[in-house]
Parts: sequence; structure tokens; C-alpha cells
Amino acid sequence: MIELKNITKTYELNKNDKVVALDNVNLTINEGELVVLKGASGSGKSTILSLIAALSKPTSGEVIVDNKKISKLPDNFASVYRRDNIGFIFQKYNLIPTLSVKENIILPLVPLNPPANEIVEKLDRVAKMFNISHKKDAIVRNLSGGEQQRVAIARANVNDPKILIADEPTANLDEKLSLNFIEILRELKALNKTIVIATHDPLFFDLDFVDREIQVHNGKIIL
Amino acid sequence: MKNKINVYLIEYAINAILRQKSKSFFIVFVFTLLTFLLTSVFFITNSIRYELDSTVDTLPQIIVQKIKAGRHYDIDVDAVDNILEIAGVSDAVARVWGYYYFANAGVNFSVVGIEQYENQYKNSFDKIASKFDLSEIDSKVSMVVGHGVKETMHDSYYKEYFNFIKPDGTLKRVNIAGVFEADTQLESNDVIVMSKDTIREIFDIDESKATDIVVKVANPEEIPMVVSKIKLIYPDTRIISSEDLKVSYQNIFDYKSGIFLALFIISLFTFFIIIYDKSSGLSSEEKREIGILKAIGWRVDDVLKEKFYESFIISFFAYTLGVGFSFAYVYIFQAPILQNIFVGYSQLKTSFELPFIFDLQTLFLVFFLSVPIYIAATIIPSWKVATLEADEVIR
Amino acid sequence: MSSDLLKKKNAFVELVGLPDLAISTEATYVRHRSVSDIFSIYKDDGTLREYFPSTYAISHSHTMNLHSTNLHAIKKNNEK
Ligand SMILES: Nc1ncnc2c1ncn2[C@@H]1O[C@H](COP(=O)(O)OP(=O)(O)OP(=O)(O)O)[C@@H](O)[C@H]1O
Ligand SMILES: [Mg+2]
Repeated sequence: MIELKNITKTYELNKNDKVVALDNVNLTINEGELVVLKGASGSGKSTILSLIAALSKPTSGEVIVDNKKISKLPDNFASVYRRDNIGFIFQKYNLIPTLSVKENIILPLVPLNPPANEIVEKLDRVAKMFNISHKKDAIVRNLSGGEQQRVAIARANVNDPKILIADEPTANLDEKLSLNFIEILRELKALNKTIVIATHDPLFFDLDFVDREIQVHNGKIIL
Repeated sequence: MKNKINVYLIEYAINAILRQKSKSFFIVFVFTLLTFLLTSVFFITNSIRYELDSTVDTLPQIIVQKIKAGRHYDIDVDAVDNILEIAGVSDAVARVWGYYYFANAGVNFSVVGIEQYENQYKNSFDKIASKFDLSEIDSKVSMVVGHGVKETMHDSYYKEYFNFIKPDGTLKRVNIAGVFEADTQLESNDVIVMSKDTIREIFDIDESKATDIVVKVANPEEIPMVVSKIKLIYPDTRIISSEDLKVSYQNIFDYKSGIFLALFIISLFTFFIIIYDKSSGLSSEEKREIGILKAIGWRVDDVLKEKFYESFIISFFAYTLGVGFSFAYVYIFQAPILQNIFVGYSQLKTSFELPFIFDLQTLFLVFFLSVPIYIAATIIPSWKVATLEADEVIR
Repeated sequence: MSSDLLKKKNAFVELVGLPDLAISTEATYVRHRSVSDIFSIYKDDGTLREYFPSTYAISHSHTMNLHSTNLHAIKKNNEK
């Protein structure tokens, strides 16, 4: 389902200086699989995730999702691809702090201009599912970290995407909330979604429902 | 679904405006002030020009002045006879009028002479002058004055008559026989009408001289021809035709003259500060927001559409507000303060009603000077950010 | 403007025969701008004397020095 072929990603800091974030990475993730990317800070995990989500383009190599070359998509098509296929739970959540919970969650639906009842339906479904219904009208800025994360998860799922991506989902959570997230993850896995998680939190290691753990080191995948 | 207006996008745009209360308020304030100032100025000048244009056809067809050493000079009354001989001329009259400085109040009056009070004048006086006493006019040396003149004279305790100081220092007492009606103030405020004989005495103008000569031409088509003939006979004259007057009325407010320039510069300056501020880059929160929207699947044109709604709503709202205020200010409150810029702070106060003119052109002009520029200034920097890689923006 | 008032104003203008409005009466070149000569703007002062603020907004007449335009009219007529 997701295929990374000979991916290299370099960032030019200035004319003479560049960082090689990924170095000839090959990776295949199957449909319905839950994959955990492990590795030290700066090893290139986030870079892999943003390539899968078409948030950035590889310097060389190809990203193929559902037989489509994602890495070659023009900007507008990349947006549509994300909208239809990807639910991204960002490390810093990337919510709009001045909007309410409800407004944040329905944000991916806005450009689609769906009928009002469809919006309400989808909103209610994810709000219930991730236990945030009671705060629907609260302003996101005023929520606790755990609540904000649940809003971010709800937003990532409002379109019912096939692929879920989470970057360091437990980095800002205490242990109880982290365990909570793992339970949510278990439910999502049961919905047969393809899930890719980048983390160095040991809580994720050796979980029964995780299909594969992949070690990333200095921009390379270690098998 | 393509053609349907996306209410969620509009809702989001309105939300975005309301979220940044102080910033939006500031923009609305400056924008409203700008449109208010511009439209008010245009409304007032339009009204004044309308006022002028409404009487332009009543003015003399040709005015002949003698110019000597570059200055307006008294013309020989004999010229009237020669002008009357030109083919096409139906009438020519030597006029006497001038500018009388009333030192006591520091005010200038425009003194205009007419032939002895003939019947035709009596009729028109009946129409335009109040407190008009016919019997007095026939028996005493008298005048009809504008409203402002009356007030000024009253302040100096001249209620029944006025003493003009003649060039030789002696006084000439002239009776106030009537006052022009107050609603013609804009034309009549500083005017004194009296007989030519009295004016000649007050200004010491010889019987053989006149201030200028007005000429009537039966066929308006022939005016240029008559003008050139007069010019041939009297090369030392300046001839003002009704066409020239129209031209003169048209350019009464040219956009180069002082206060306009100042007003424009200040307004444009303020406006461009805002635009500069906007186009010099978005704040990091604004950038981040665009990045987030793109990351969750908004296309560039979705973002730009939202920015368009946002800027259109705010600028159109401010525009409407500014225009509304200026309508009320100019036509209901008669433009206090700003009106004085155009009619002057002269000692002789003129108060008048600005005639209401609904001028679509002004509204369009101000609209296109403001709203699209603002929208562009909002969209362009957003477009710059929106076309960046989303990953870069939200990192 | 009501037609009644318009009639009154026109009657007044016809009687007096002077163009321009009774505003800025301290400045001849504004009060009688259409019939002023080029010197009237320097009458009170060697430099252009402004009567703030009306003379900033109202420009003096551009037909002030009509010598040239009149000559132009003559030429045109002679050509005919
Ligand atoms: N936009 C960028 N410009 C320059 N360098 C970048 C950029 N993005 C990432 N890098 C560099 O690429 C390398 C990989 O970064 P990446 O964020 O993928 O690491 P990571 O494994 O996610 O680390 P962490 O666990 O700290 O999130 C790092 O050295 C980082 O400094
Ligand atoms: Mg990372």
C-alpha cells in the first residue's frame, strides 16, 4: 500500500551546507498494518512521515501510495490526496488555538462544502469516539494537553482516512494519558486502518497489536 | 456542488475576522475613515459644482474686459456702440461693479450696479428679495443687500442705511431697501445691488468708463465669431464667453491644489502603511494557520478563497460604513468643518444647503481606490505562503 | 434643490450677471475667479497670497489669462 523507493531527502541550510535527513530509504507498509518507527532524535522519522503525507517532496526516489506516485503530485493534488487519504496527528497537534473544538474538527471538511447534516454526523461520530463531545464548544486554547490531543485525533479521523500518521503522539503526555492513547490506537487498528507512528517512547515497544517496529538511524533504516 | 457558495468557508472567514478583534477593529477604523474622508470631499465638491452648473446658463454669453499692463482696467463705454454694430450681437451693456472693503469689519462686499430701478428689475426683486420696500427705492438712494452683508452691517449698527467711504474720504449714505432671501446665500451673500449712478459716485468712476461690457448674441452658434470680431476691434481686451465660464466651473477643484493633495497624501499614506504592513509578510501565527490548513487538505485556492472572503467582508463593510457616514455627514449634518475648507473661513459666513446628488461615479471611484487594493494586499502574501511546502511552514 | 429655489437662484444670477459663488470673499481670485485677471492672485502680496483653507481647495481659474485662448479663437475663425 505504501512504498518508499530509494528515498533520499537533503535539506540545504545554505550554499555549502546541507543535511542529509534520509539516505536511500526503502520501505513497504501493507494495508491495515501498524508500523512503529523508532530512532533517536534527528534520525529522520518525521521526515519519512511528511513524505508519506506528501507534505514535502523527496530529493530523489519515489513515494507510492495505492499505486499512485505521491512524490510527483502537484501541490493542489497533494492537498486533495491528503484530504481524502491521510489523517495526520502532529507532534504539536497543529490545532488552531482560537477556534472551538468543533470548528477545528470539521476544518478538513470545509473546502468540500458538504450538506449540514453530513457535517454534524461526522463531527458527532469522531467527537464521541475520542471522548471530546462534552467540550465541543470550548476554545481549543483553553483545553488541557490530553484534550487537545484528542481533538487532533478527532480531526485526523473526521474524513475517515485509510492512512493514519502520528508523530511523537505521547511526547507531551503523562503516562496515564499515554496509555489512554495506546487504547485509542488499538481501537483504530481494529477499524483496519493503516497506521504509521514515529516515536521513541518505550511504551510503544513490544505491544501485541503492533505489526512491525522499524529502527531509523542517521537517515537509514536498520533491519 | 461546484457552483454552490461555500457557507462554511464564509463562516470561517467571518470567524477569522472576529478572532482578531483589535486588528480587525483597527483596519475597519482606518478604512472607514479613509472612505469617509474621500467620499465626503467628493460629495461636497460635487454639490458645489452642481450648484454652479445649475445657474451657468443664466450667465452673460460674453463678457468683455479691458486689460492694461496685465491688469483688469476700466473700459470705455463708447465701445458698446461699436460692439452693437457687429452682426449677430443683439445687445451690449456696460456694467459697473466692484469690490468694496468695509474696513470696520474687515470684510469685502461685491457691489453691482444696475440701471435705475426699471420695471423688469422690480419684478425680479419681488421674487428674490425680502423686506423689500418699493416706495423707498423710488424716493431715496438705496440698495438691496445679501444676507451676509445685512448681518455685517447690523453688527456695526447700520440697520437702515450704510455709509460708504468715497475715494475722496467723504461719506455716501445709501439706504438699505431690501435683503436677498437667505436661501440664495451661496450666490448673494456678499452682494450689494444699487443703481449705476450710486456706484459711480462711491467708486469715483467716470461716466465714460465701465467695469466691463456684457454682450448678448442672438444665435449661440455665433458666439466664437463675435468673440473674434470684438478681439479684432479691441485687441487689448480679454473676452470671456459662456464656454469659458463652463470650463472655469469645471476645474474649480483641480486635484493638484493644496488641501486635496494633502488629504490624498495623508489618506494614501495611512492606507499604504497598512498595505505595507500586510504585504511585508504575515505574522508567524497567520503563516502557521495557512500551513495547517494546507496540511489537513486545503488546496491553495481554498486558502485564497477564504482570504478573499475575509478581506472582502472587512473592506466592503468598512467601505459601506464610510460611505454611509459620509452621506449622513454631508447631507444631513451639512458637513461641519469640512465644508469650511471649501467655502472658507471668511468673515462673511455663508451658510447653505449642500444640494443632494446621488453620484454613482464617486462611489465607484472610491470603491475601486480602496477595496480591490486591500483585497490584493491580503491575498498576495497569503498566496506566497500557501504555495510554500506545507512542511516548511508548520515545522 | 427644489425647482422653486433653482428659479430664485437663476433670477438672482440673471439680475447680477456675475459668475462664481459668494465664498472666500476675502480672496478676489476665488470670489470672482472666472473673471479675475492674472494679477488678482498677486494683488495682496508679491507672492501668491493664500487664504487658508479655501484657496487650498479651490483653484484659481485656468482661464485667467485668456489672451492666448482668444487669439486661438481668432485664428480658428479666420481659417473658416
Ligand atoms: N526544514 C529543515 N531544514 C533543515 N534541516 C531539517 C529540516 N527538517 C529536518 N531537518 C533535519 O533533518 C534531520 C531529520 O529530521 P527529523 O525531524 O526527520 O528527525 P526526527 O527523527 O523526527 O527527530 P525527533 O525525534 O527529534 O523528532 C535532522 O537532522 C533535522 O535537523
Ligand atoms: Mg520528529
